[in-house]
Amino acid sequence: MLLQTDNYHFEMIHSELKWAVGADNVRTDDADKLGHSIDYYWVPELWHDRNCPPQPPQIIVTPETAQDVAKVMKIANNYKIPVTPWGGGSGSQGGALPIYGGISLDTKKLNKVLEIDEKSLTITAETGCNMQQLEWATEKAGYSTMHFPASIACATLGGFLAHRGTGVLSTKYGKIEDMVMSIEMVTPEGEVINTLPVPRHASGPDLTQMFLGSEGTLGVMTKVTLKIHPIPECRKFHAFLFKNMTSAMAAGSELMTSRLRPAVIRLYDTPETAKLIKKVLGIDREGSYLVFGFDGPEEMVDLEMARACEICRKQNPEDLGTEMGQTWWDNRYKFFYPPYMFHMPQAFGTLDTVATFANIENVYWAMKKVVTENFPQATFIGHFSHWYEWGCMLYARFIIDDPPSDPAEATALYNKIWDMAIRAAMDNGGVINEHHGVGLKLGRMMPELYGNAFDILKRIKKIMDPNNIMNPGKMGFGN
Amino acid sequence: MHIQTHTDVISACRFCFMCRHLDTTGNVTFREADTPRGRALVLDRIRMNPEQLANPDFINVMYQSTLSAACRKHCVSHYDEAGLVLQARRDIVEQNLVPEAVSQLAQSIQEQFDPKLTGEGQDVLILSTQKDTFEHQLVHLTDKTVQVLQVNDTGKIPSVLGLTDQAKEMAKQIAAMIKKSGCSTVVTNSPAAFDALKNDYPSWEIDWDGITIEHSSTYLTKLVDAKKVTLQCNDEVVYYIDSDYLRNYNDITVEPRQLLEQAGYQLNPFGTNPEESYALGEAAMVLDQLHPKLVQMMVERFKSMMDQPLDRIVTASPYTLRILRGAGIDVMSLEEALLACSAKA
Repeated sequence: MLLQTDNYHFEMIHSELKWAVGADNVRTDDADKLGHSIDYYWVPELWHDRNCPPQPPQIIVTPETAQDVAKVMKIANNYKIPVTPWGGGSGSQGGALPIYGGISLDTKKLNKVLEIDEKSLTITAETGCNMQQLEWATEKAGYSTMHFPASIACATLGGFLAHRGTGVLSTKYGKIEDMVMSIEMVTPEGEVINTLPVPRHASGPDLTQMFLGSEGTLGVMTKVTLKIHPIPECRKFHAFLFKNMTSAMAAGSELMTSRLRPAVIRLYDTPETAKLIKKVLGIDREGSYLVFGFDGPEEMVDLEMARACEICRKQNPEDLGTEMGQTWWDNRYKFFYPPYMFHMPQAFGTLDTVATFANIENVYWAMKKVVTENFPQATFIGHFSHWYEWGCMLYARFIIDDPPSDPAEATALYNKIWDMAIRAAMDNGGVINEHHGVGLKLGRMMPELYGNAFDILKRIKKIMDPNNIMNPGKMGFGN
Repeated sequence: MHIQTHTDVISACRFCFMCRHLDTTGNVTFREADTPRGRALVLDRIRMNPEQLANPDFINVMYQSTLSAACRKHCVSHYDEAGLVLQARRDIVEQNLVPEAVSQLAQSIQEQFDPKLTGEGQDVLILSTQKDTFEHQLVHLTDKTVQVLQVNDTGKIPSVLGLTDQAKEMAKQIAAMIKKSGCSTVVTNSPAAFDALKNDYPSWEIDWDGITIEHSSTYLTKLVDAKKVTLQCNDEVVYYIDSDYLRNYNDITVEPRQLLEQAGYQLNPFGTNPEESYALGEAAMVLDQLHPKLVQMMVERFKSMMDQPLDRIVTASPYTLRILRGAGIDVMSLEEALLACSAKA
C-alpha cells in the first residue's frame, strides 16, 4: 500500500508506530526525509542536482532493539506498508532508497557493542554500529575487525552484511561473509530468529549465508557476531610499475596461485594509473601500478614479501619500493573524498564484477570494448581490488564528464552503459557484482544472471515476505 | 544569500559521507540531516529554491549543529562545513526567520553587554568572559600584575547565532577598549573568546596593531619554556578533553597536553579515538540553552566513552567544564589542574 500523508489514516498508523517504538523514534521532518531520499547511487544524486522533487519515505523509524524492529514489521505487514532498511545510506546501488515511500527503517540506534570474547576472538554487536566506531572500539580492546572498506566511516555494520561488503584487506581476512559467525534477524513477519552460532557445521544448509546479501528483502539483520584479530606485529607494502596490465596481472595471479597470503593486492590499469595514481600518489609515469602488502609476525612478513617481489620481478617491472606502497596504504581512503572522487556534473559508475583468473582479463577487455565503442564520450578505467586463490574482482569505472542535462536522458544513457557493460562481463564469466550489491541499479539483470535458478530466490522471498513489504523494487524481485 | 559564498562546500559535501562518524550532533540523534551531507543537501535545495529557507525543519537542523568542525578537520580537503552552517544562520536571520528562542538569547546577551576594564598600564590584559577566578589563577601562576577586561561575551554568541551585525558592534567596542588599555598581549582562558579575537575580529576588519592574542595554554607554555613558571608535583591520571575552538579552529592540541605532562599528570586518551569532539557543543556557545535535550544526549555519550565513571577529566573549555560539572563528572579546568601543582620559578 502506498501511504498518503494528508489523511487521518496516516495519522493513525503514525500514532501506532510511536506507541510501538516511542515518539522519539518516529520522524517525519522534511530535513531528515530529504537525507533518506538520496544514497550514494548516482541517479538520485542526479535527480537532486537537477532540482527534481525528492522521493522520500513518509516515515522514518529508528528502532532501538530487535523487538522494536519486530513491532514495526508487524504494523507494516498489517497495513502492507513498504519497509526499506537504511543504515549509513552510503550504498552505491540504490538499495536503501525508499522508492515506494512508506517506512525507512533506520538502524543506526541499534549501535551497542555487546561482547568481546577474548577467548574465541569474536565480537558481538548490533548492526547499526558505524563501522569506524566499531573498529575503534575493537582496537581499544586490543584487536581489530580487519574490515577496512573505503566506506568504513560512512556505513553501518548491517550495511556490509546486507550487500556482502568487503574491505581493503579482504585477500587475507576475507569479505564480510567470511568474517561472520552468526546473525540475529527479524523476519518480515516480525519474528526474531538466530542462525547457528558457528559458521562451519554439517547441520543442514547455511541460513547465515542465505541472509547475507539479501539487501533487506528478507528481513532486517539486527545483531551479528564477527571474528576479530590480534593487531599484527607489522604490516609492510611494496609497489611496482609494470609495462602493462597483462604483465601485472600475470604477477598478481602468480602471487595468489603460489599460495602466498598477502593481506591486499591492488592492480591499476594503465589509464587509472595515469588518472588517479598520478593525482593521489604523484606517480607520473606510464604503466600499470601494482601494490601488495603482508601483515603478521615480522619474519613471516619479510619472507613472504621477498617471495612476492621475486614473482613480480620476473615481469621486469620498475621497482617503486616500499615507500610507494606505504604511501598508497596511507592514502587508501583519500580517493573517495572530494575533490578526488568523481563528482557532478560527471556521470560515473563502478562496474564491479568478479571472475576467475582464466576469465578476468577477458571480462576487462570485453567491458572496455563495449563502453569505449558504444559510448565514445565515456572514459573507462579500472583496477583489480580483491584477490582470491582462484581469481579477482574488477573495479572498472566509466566516467562521462558532460552527461545530458535532462535527467531522464542522462538516466537512460547511464542505464544503457550499465546494461551493456554488465552483459559483456556476464558473457565472459563475470557476475553482476562482487561487493557493492544489486539494489535498485542492477535488479533488472538478476534473472539473466541466475537463469532459471532465480525462481528459487523468488520463491524464498515469497515464503519469507508474503506481503512483499521488505525493500520492494530491489534485487530483481519487483514490486 | 550568504550560503552562496560556500557553494564549493555544498557541492563537495552534499553527496559525501566520509565524515559522518564525527558529526557531534549526528552521533547522538542518528539523523541523516544532522551530518555535513544532510545539511549540505538541505542547503542545496534552498540554494535552488530560496523559499524553502522558511521550512522550520530546515531551520531547526541549522541550529542543532554543534559547529564543532570535527568533520572539517577530518576531511582531507578541509571543506568548511561549519562555515556553511554559519552562513545559513545569517541567511535565516536576515530573512527574519530566526526562531524566537534564538532572538531572546541574542537580546539577553546584548542587554548584559557591559565590558569593564580594571587595572592600567600593564603589558598583559586578561580577557575574562566567565565569572570565574581565571585572572587570579593566572596572576598566581605568573606572579604578574595584569589588567582585566571582564565581558559577558566577545560577540561570539551573536556571531554563531547568525546575528553578525550585533557581533560586530560588540567586537568594535571590545577592540577599542583593548587598544586603549595599552597592553601588548591579550590572554584569555576561553577558547571561544580566543577564537573570536584571533579569527573573527580580523575578518571584521579589526586590526590589532601589533597586539598579540594568546590562549592561556600557549601563553603559559611560553612562560614555562622561558622558565618563568615551574610546573611539578603530580602523578595523577587524567583525561584531557580538547576544546573545539582550540583543536578544530586553531590547531592547538599540543600545548595543553604538554603543560599537563610538565605538571606531572599522566594523560590517558579519552574515548576510542582522537578525532571526535567531546566538547558537548562548545562551538555552538549556547547549545545547552537552545537544545538542552541534545546536550544531555551528548553527556550520555560522553559517559559511555569514559573508561571508568570516576575518571578525572581536564578541559580547557569553560563551557565543557560547566556542562560536565553539572552532570556530576569529576572535571577540572586546565588552570585548576596547573594551579594544583605549580611553583613560581
